This record gives sequence, C-alpha cells and structure tokens, in this order.
Amino acid sequence: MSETLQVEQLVVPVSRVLGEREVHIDCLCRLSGGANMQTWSLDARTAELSYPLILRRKPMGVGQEAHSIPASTGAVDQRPNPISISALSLSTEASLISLAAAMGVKVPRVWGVLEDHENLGEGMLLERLDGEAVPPRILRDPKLERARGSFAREVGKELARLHAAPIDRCPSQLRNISWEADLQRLQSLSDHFRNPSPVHQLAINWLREQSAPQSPRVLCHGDFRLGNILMDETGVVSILDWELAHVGYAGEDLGYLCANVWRFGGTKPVAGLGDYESLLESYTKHGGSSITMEELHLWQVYAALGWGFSCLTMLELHLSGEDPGLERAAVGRRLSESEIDILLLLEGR
Amino acid sequence: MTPSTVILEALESFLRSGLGGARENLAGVDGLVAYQTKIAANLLSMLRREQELAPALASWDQKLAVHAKLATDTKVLEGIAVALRDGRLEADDALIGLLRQRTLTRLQIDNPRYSGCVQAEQRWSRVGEELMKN
Repeated sequence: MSETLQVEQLVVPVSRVLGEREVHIDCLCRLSGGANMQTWSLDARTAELSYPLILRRKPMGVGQEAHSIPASTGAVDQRPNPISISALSLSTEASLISLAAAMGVKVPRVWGVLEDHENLGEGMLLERLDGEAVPPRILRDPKLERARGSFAREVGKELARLHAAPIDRCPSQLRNISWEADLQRLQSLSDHFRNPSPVHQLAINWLREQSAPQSPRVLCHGDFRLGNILMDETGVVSILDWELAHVGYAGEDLGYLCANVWRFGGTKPVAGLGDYESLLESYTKHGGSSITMEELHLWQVYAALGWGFSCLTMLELHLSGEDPGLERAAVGRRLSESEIDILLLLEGR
Repeated sequence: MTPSTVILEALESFLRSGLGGARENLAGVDGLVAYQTKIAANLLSMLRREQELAPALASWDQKLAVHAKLATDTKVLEGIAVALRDGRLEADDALIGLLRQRTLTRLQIDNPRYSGCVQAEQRWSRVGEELMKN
C-alpha cells in the first residue's frame, strides 16, 4: 500500500489544502524517489480551475524511519548513522519554504501538509512549476544560454534574501550546532563508517587546523546546487528540496555551490557555469555579508568531504537492504571523487 | 578459455545495445529501465577497469603499508586513517604523494571521466610513474 497511491485516496486531503469543495484528480504519476521519500505529480481540477501539484511523501512517517542495520552485513557500525538523525520532517520543511517565500526567495507555493487521520503517511502538497532541473541539461541546453549568463548573479540574490531570514523565526527542529561540534560530527561519521578513507581524515584534520569560519550564522539551504534549482529561459524559477536546511555559516551555501562535484563537469567555478566575482558581488549587493575566497575554499573542502559521507551513506542504505537498487550500490563507488577533490584542494595549503 | 575481461566487455556491449537490439534501442526502452541498464553497463566497464588496474592499486597499497609501518595483514587504508586521526602518523609529503597516486588509480577505475580525475592526471601522473619504479 505504501508504494502505490490511488487518486481516490487523495481527493479529501487535496480538496482540504486547496480549500475547494471537491476536486477531480488525474495525471497521477510517480516521478522519483527512494523507498523513504516519494515524489508524485498530479493535477487537481474543479469546474473552473486546474491546479498542477507535486506531492512529496514519506509513506512510513518519520518515526518509523530510524536506521537499523541488520547484523548480518557486518560492513558498518551498528549505531544509527549520524546523518539520518538530522533529516527534517515534511511539515518542518513546509514551514521553512513558507519562511523563505516571506523573505522573497523564489520557492514553490506550499498548499499544505497531509494530516495523520488521512492515513497516507507524512506528505506535503506543493505547486508544480515548469522548468528544467536536470544539471547536464542546464549546463548544455542552447535554450538556457542567457539564463546561464545571469545565473551566478541571480543565485547570489536568492542566497542573500534567504540568509536575511531571522534565525529566531526558523523552526526549532533545525540543526544548529557550533563549528567545534560540527567537526566532531564529521569525525563521528568517519568513525561510524570504520574510517575507510585516509584522505577524509586529512580533510577533517585540515579543517580542525583552520580557524572557525568568519561569516555570520544564518538559515542555510544546505543543498544549494544544480539539481535543486529549477531554471527556464528567463533564469531561476524556484529553489527546491529544503530537507537539509539548518542554521550554519553563510559561507557554507556559497562554497557548496562552487564545489567541484556540484559543477557536473562544467568548467566555471560557480555550479560549473558562473564566476566567483559575479556570485560574491551580487550576494553583497543584495545585503549578504562579504565572504572571503579563503572561506569559500574552506567550504569547498567541507563539501567534498560531505559528498564522501553521502556516498558512504547511500552504500549503507544499499547494504542494509533498505534501498537495494543498483543506483545506491553504484554511488558507493563515487567515494574516490570526494577524495580526489580534497587532495586537489589541499595541494599547497 | 575466455578471459573474464572479455566476458565483462561482451556483457557491457550487450547491455549498451539495448537488451539485444540496436544501440539506438536503448532510448526506446522505458525510461527507468533504460537508465538502470546504463548504470549496469557502466558498472561492468568499471569492473573491467578494476581488473586491469588491480596490480597498480595493490602496489600503491603495499607502498602505503610500508610507509606507515603497518603489518601486511591489516587493512591499510583504515589503519592509516586511524593513525592520522590519533596523531600517530604525520601527513608528510611522502604520505600525501602516495595517497594522491592511490586515489588517482582508484578514480581511474571508478570514474575516469570525472573532471577531478583529468586534473589530477595532469598534476600527478608523471610523479606517479617515477614513484612506481621505486
């Protein structure tokens, strides 16, 4: 039942969040997602109006998602993965998106969240927007040439607006830990995976030797990169996927966007298609604080390490049987991408 | 006897041909199946590269074990990572040099098209050839 979804199950919740007496639902189809997070597309119609919608859904509900690694695999530590603990619930994500909208960030409209008595698990209904999110197409599609030219400035503006959000208005569930605690978290992750990479350890040690980042503490998107940025011919349409949002340093979102793994083979430093100067100038022009190149470099090392831990986490999901697909197994082999990026970034430092 | 590298190559070519048809057929297969078939073919070509580069990888591991004075039966990478964490091993130029070569060889197996792989080859391949001789 959790894998499938019938239009009949959605009529009541969709009518409720749209504030319509009764809607007709069609074109329901599954877009993507693993066992834990499903993304569905659907259209809801009334006599007068049509609403294109996205449903993001965790069929199990967050409480039942805690990791348990079968002892038989023997490949990983039995303790819960420290990453999975910090995943946001969809209702928290919904309130964050609304906060971002209030700050003027381009986001999809949140129509509402599923309620417990509707028995569909956790879910959030969003406006479905047209545009391109697939990174290689954004990097190469001739139709997006002009949008690529203004990308670095546009995202500089979006990030400045987001980072202006008052931290005391953020949901209290957001991760908000000190630099020192974050470094300890990274070490715990490495230990959790049984220290598979000397290069990851070099990165952790190097980060420990640096002074704490200088940029202000802000609401960070946490996964700000192509793939989560919807584009069309006119430019940025919307910022998607807020589940890794947290309170952190402003430099993190900017450095992450510039990390080599998130350039998808593009040659320029900002998301593979823009330059540093445009990003930083636009960011400060729209109210962001000034971020040094040194700090951007530090966050690129941090992002490379983060990619390594993501690869290990996906391998863990595969080995635990939680998500046995080919894709997770394959991503486990991309660990060496994170290692080479770290070694390249640390050369001469 | 057919060498396993040849079998891997044949399997990969079979998958890339769109489950037995012409190469273009892959686009005609249902989207998700086509995507997963492509992943399967990529994984096979990775295993083929792993067979080819296994001796080089083993050689770097051996050099790393000697450098870090680790017993041959320990897990070399884990041993070095823990020693670095605990401050028992210094991240000197010799160690970094070996880790660069080991990582580069690993990436040449895993994803030689990654942009970082190309950069690392430009910076470190010549040094690697010298190191390998010693």
